[in-house]
Amino acid sequence: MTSSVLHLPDDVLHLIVCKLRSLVCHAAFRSVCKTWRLFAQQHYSYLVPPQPPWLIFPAHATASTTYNFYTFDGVRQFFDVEVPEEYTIGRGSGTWLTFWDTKVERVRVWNPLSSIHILLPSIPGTETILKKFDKFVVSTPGPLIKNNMIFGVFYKGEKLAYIKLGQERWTHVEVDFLHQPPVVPSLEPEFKIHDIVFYQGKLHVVDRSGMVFVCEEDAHAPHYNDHHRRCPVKAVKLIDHLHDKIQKINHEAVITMLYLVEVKGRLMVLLRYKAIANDSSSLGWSFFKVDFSKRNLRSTKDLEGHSLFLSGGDASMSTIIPYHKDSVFCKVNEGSSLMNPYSLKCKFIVSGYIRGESVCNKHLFQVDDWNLTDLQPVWIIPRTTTVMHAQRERGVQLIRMN
Amino acid sequence: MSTKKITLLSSDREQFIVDEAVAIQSQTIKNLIEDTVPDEDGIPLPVVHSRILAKVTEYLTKHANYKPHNDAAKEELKNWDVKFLGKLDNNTLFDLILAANYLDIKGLLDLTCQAVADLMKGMSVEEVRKLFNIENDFTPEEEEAVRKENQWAFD
Repeated sequence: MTSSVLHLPDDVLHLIVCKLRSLVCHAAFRSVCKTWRLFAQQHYSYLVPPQPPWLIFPAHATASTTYNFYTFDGVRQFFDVEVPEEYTIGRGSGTWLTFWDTKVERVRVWNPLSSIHILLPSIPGTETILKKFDKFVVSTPGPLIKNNMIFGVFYKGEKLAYIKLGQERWTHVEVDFLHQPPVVPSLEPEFKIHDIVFYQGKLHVVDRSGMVFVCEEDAHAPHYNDHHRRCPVKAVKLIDHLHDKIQKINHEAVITMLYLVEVKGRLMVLLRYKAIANDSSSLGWSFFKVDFSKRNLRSTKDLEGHSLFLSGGDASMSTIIPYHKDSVFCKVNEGSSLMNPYSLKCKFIVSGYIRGESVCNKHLFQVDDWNLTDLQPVWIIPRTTTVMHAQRERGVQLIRMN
Repeated sequence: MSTKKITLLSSDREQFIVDEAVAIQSQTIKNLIEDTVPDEDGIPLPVVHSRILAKVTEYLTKHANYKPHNDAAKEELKNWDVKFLGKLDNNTLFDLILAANYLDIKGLLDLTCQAVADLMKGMSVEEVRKLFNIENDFTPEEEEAVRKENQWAFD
């Protein structure tokens, strides 16, 4: 028998690679030789264990354009990634970061671990707004090929649109929101949409009244349009039974935030109660599983061992972290750059249920770094993306950055 | 209690006599006992050298005779595994992986694969190549692409 691993059968190699916990080890593995690189590409999705999100703090406007990553245990990792000066960091969605490219005035979607950029077409009439889109979500059910990746966005608190990889124009979606005035108009932002998520390839929306909508493509309608007033895709109302509950809860002291997240293949609606005067607090949580057949919600306390990461700006996500099972994490900023220009404490509030125990507002993660300014941190899941077919299209360009 | 003995024959025709209960922890050996008429000298294992078979039987003997019933006993067995691995050089470790795979011994395969994964922790790409005895077969262009792709991890 020789000792060369070239003779190791695939299933043994698979076993070894499955036991590599760190992403750096996986990066080394796929850099060894052609065979291993191909092996990693073919099996990546299940070889790499679930990772807690990384935090990325946008660089200060006058600082360099490299980004530091923080791992979830609060350790600063110097995985610096150089970003061209003209990029402004936007939102995070799963493995992707979004940037506004001031040079071409378009949105770039970027996977920082594999240097893959996707340049998206602009939404007519929204160039200046898109910089500040409220949420950006990506659906990647498989390899990056045409139509197999969908980007969804909401902006101005209520406008909704999506585009598929390879398409040239955005499809606008019309949502029939239930009219519900804000509880305290001066304090509460006018967010009609609270969260969006791709679930089974379809864009799902939850509005401020707790109604869940699904964007159904009509085979007879055009898939995209120049202006959202013509031939929009309609979001179909799916569930509305949280409406009364939310109306009872929302008053001058307490308001609700709604989140959508897929947990173990099921769509969940999460309700966070928070004090209107204090953005960083969570007063309590309710969790619901969506029952599509009965078109209703089933209250649950079971997060199936998952850890949920919920955010108003970045995509909400669910992952398994062995040491933080059944937990809900929220990103909360505390402190003000006006009061202390050199320090910002970014605290994660963990709420809900930690291993069966109900807790609220337990600080779990704290970054206290004099380099940070009052910019919002962005979170992403650190994973590389495999490109099966690099493509250049008129509308969507998928490129590798050098 | 039956203490039926089984003779295993390494590729260099060295005999290893072990209890049947020890031997049948290997699914391959178990199948060979059930399905084939043994060689006069023992059950032939033509791809396992005596140097490696000695290690395999050492592992199997410990694990057959030691059934931990509490956490302390489990811990002791774990410590034994760590010591067992500590005595192996890298070449033996890889040979042991191949043997555990061929003999279908799940526990030993898991243990040895974990040991290799642990070795890879903190290694540079070049060190991983050395460990696995693999040549860099990327073209300069491919190497540059790979370097850029994984730059974040190594800079």
